[in-house]
Amino acid sequence: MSAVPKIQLTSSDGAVIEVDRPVAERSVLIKHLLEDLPEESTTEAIPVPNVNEAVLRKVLEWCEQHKKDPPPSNDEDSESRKKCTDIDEWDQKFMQVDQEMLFEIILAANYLDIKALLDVGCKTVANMIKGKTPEEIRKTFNIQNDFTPEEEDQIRRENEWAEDR
Amino acid sequence: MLELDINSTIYADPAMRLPPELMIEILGYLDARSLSRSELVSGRWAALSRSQHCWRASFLSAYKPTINVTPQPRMMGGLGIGTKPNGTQDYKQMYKARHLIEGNWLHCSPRAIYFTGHTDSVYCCQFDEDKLITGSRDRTIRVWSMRDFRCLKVIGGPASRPVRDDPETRLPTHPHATVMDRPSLNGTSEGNEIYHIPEQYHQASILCLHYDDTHMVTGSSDTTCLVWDLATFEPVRRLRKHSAGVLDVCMDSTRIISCSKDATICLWDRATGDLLGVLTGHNGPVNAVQLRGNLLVSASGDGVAKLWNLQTQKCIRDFPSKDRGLAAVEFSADTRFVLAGGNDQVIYKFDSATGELLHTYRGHTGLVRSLFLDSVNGRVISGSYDQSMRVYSFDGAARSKRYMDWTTSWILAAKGDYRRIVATSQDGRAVLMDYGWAVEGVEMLRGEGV
Repeated sequence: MSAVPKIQLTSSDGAVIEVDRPVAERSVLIKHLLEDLPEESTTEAIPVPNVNEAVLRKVLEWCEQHKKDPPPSNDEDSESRKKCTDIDEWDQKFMQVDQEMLFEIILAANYLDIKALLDVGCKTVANMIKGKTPEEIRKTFNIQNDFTPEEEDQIRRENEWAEDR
Repeated sequence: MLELDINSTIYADPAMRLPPELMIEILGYLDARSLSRSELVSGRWAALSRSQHCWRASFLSAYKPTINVTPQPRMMGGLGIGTKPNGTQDYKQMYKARHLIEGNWLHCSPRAIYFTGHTDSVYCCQFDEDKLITGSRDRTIRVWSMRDFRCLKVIGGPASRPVRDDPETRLPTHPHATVMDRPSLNGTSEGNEIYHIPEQYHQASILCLHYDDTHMVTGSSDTTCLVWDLATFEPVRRLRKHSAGVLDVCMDSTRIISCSKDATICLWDRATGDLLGVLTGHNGPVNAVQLRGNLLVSASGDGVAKLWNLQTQKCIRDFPSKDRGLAAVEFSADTRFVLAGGNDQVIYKFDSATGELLHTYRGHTGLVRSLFLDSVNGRVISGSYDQSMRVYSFDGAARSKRYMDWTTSWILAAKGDYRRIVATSQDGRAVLMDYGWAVEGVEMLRGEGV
């Protein structure tokens, strides 16, 4: 039985992390990069300049868990995507991190081109917004209300229909 | 320790922390209420939440149907999600229009438009965003505009041409909701101009019809089916096999199915008109059929609904009623559920895989004559000899809505889409109940979808 090939990644803060190649290839960016490299040079660590060690380890933990998932379909029809609440249980637990880490994961997933992780991250933030009043949303993310009362009134009137029922 | 505490209470505004395209992606997962509340958070949130990208994603995830079987069954009416994107859609306005229409369904407040002209019972109908086609005991087929509600064409034999109506016989319309009731054109010069006598026609009542983009099939008490070219309203061929009236028809891109009072179901090659098979097993008139991929459901006066495999032409399963006589049947778009109604005055919902009775929709006090399942919008529309229509939520959760006084006699067919019900009656009329009447922006919902 041949061993699973391994590669190394260097985080923005200089940490070198060894990982199974199929796990790292959940990232389309890394996958394409590896495809472009000659076989012998895959022993060198690949720099991931936009992601620090803590976030990179977290992202790779997700990739490890999802390494057997079918590859993402290139279905352009992304509107028929599942509703927000459909996040699998493992992913929900995985996303129970502080907000800063959550945003870092989303940014890393975007940069590394890991569509499924990006979706889970975006859905997690959407679920934090869903069903809340504007004031509750501001509280959740520590946002200053910069509207004048008149502006607020105007928007409220425009959107009255959506509050009906 | 102090540092940890600070870290664990970091709040960051995602609209500041993330690039706009990701924030828009996030907001696109929200429904209309949450999305419009996002506009009130801050100026930056407002700018992002108003983006058409957010509203488009939100609108489509709320209203775009998922397709379950191949070939895809033809939709009744429209999808209500507009045309292919061309950059000019206002998805927020479209969402608002759909929302207001849903409110009108909830509050039972459609507007009524009457189609007057048939001179006897109207047995069947089908409609889309542009036209309505009806078939009648008066041996004619009528085509009506769904835009201005005029009668565009009357198709029948030379003996079936209607004479001028007695103005005294005009039927009452709904007292509060009527917005249009054009007088019939029968016997007028315009009425004669739109009367079309084709090469072949039915010699008796038109009991059922089904059309798609190119063709229409009609079934008649004269025991035959006619296949029509929809562009010319000339028959392409006549299908002869049944020995009694043809009670229902359906078709897909390759096949035509007809069922008859003679207790059989015929399977025809659409392109050639060849008879591919005869399904036997019912012990009474087969009143209704519906096709989904290779599966067919049928309902019979013998009190049984049957599920058939069209490849083997064998019956797979029976769904019995409590008493006797099933008049109508529907098959959910995903083929998981079969609805059947008739003499028992109720509608049964069966699990198509196990045959288990899952739910009974109640309320009618007469025979359930027609059924329509709008899988996309989760509605079951029934028409009954108690002269009422009912709208049930498909999941059975909400109470049904009852519609009385929309026609003056038995409801013989009732079908619906996102914004309307079209019902036909023994009183010779069809009535359009439009829940989108005068709703701002409703015109943007027309079209073939995305």
